[in-house]
Amino acid sequence: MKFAHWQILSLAAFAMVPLLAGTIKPNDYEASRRDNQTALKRRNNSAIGAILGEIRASMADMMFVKTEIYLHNGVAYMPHLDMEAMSERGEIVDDDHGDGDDGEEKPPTVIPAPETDFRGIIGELERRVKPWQDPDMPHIHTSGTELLPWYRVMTISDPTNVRAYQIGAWWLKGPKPQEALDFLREGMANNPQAFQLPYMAGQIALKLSDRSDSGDSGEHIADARRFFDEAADIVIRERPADYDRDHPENFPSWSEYKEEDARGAARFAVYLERDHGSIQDAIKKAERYSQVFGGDGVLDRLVERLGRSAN
Amino acid sequence: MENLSPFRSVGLIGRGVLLETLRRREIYVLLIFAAVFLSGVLVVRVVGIPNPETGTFILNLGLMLALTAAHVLTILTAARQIPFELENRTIYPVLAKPITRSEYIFGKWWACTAAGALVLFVLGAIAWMSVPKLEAYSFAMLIQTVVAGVLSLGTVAAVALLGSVLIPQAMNIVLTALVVWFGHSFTGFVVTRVAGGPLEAPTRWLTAYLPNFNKLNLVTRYTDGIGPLPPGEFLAMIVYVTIIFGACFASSALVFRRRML
Repeated sequence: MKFAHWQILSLAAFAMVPLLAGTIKPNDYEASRRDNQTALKRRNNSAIGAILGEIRASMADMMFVKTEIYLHNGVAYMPHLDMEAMSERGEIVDDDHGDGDDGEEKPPTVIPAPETDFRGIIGELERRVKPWQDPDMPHIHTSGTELLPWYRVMTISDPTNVRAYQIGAWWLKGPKPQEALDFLREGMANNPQAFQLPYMAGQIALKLSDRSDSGDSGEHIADARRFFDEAADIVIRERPADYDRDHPENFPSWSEYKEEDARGAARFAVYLERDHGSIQDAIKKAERYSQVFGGDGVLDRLVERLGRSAN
Repeated sequence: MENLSPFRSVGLIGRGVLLETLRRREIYVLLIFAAVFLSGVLVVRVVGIPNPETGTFILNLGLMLALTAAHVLTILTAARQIPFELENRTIYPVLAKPITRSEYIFGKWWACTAAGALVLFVLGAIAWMSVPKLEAYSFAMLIQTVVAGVLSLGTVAAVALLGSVLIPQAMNIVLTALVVWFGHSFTGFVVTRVAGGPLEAPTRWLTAYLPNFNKLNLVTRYTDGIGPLPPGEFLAMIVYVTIIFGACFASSALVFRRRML
């Protein structure tokens, strides 16, 4: 093989290119406009920001529907979602119908069953060529880990999709709990007002402390305490002060699910303070949280019991 | 047979590429992008830009889209050239003329780069002119951004042409696109895996051979209102691109010369 001089020179210069590459850092600078939180807020509040944000959110929603299909082995069931609640509250709410197991109500498939399909042979053809199973049969669920890439893409598309972070971390916590925590930390950075994420992170850290046999259990407990405290602090900030559990319909931004989770976060914060902190601090926390919720049976009983044991 | 000067032969080959690009569907893709830009501009005008931050965001989006569209067109054009000519057997009468294979590749390269640069100029100008400049931006930085964009297009054309003499067309398009948009993420990922260990330095050195197109994308630096790069760093960038181009060009000329047609 014959090389011309310029070719030898070019290839020799290329051998040295890593030396040069290290000196070029055009995007290494501080004080950028894109990272400024005030500027970010103003951008997101503009009409154009809202339109583009909606496009991203719609993409994330479509992917959410896709994950349901994946979860059911490719069989598309009618969405398990309460559309009315979604339109009122703007959050995804399960309509509580079952999976066809244990005699629960069975959701219909998107491709109708033969007895309800007016299309005759065309319908039969669709049932044969596309994934379909009789809605009367129990659902077959795939391993949720196959869905993980979808949740990753969903959160890239819409970093404010708290539910995607929650469900993604839920599937991830089994095989890779540490990665689940990292995923939730990313969600917390993007959604500082969502107490559900530190609440879930606390539960994972707690589980890690149970499993831990390498002596780092204390570290996981400390993490869990921090996460639950953070979740409870957010609850204090975000929960409507006059929330009424008997009339949740008057509080579209604070669903019953959120209320349950909020109380759970507060209780865990108190339990961990009791078991790994001081009894006095646990009593103080319990009284404070109970006051926030306008009385909480579990916390009130705990205060009573802790008070007795402290005396 | 008339002996053509190297400049003339390179010019003629490039002219052929440009004419073919105009005849083929790429021009319609450009028109569609321009239409999308213009309708976006109309929406922006109707909705209005409420604050300077939103103006900057739209400017960044527009320039980024222009740069992306130019890269897509360059990759598709460059990756197609040699396989297409081989398939249609139009390469034989060209190479039967007193044209060296290096001149042939160089002619293809400059025309692919010029086609991409044209898209960058047209779409970039539409994006830049349509958005009111409500924050301070450096004009010198804008010039550097455009120059770096053209350098990036030249590099991508060289990489795609090298790929086209080594691997099938579809694989070449996918691999080149991956290098352009995810190459720096990949190298960053690999380096962080070995960070702090004895393999870090050699890994850094080896991964630096993969062209880093992120270094040539200065759009966000421009819209962040940062000043131009120091002359030394900008010169280093030009040298960096020239070396990568030289290596790709030398390799493709070498492989193409040895290749059975």
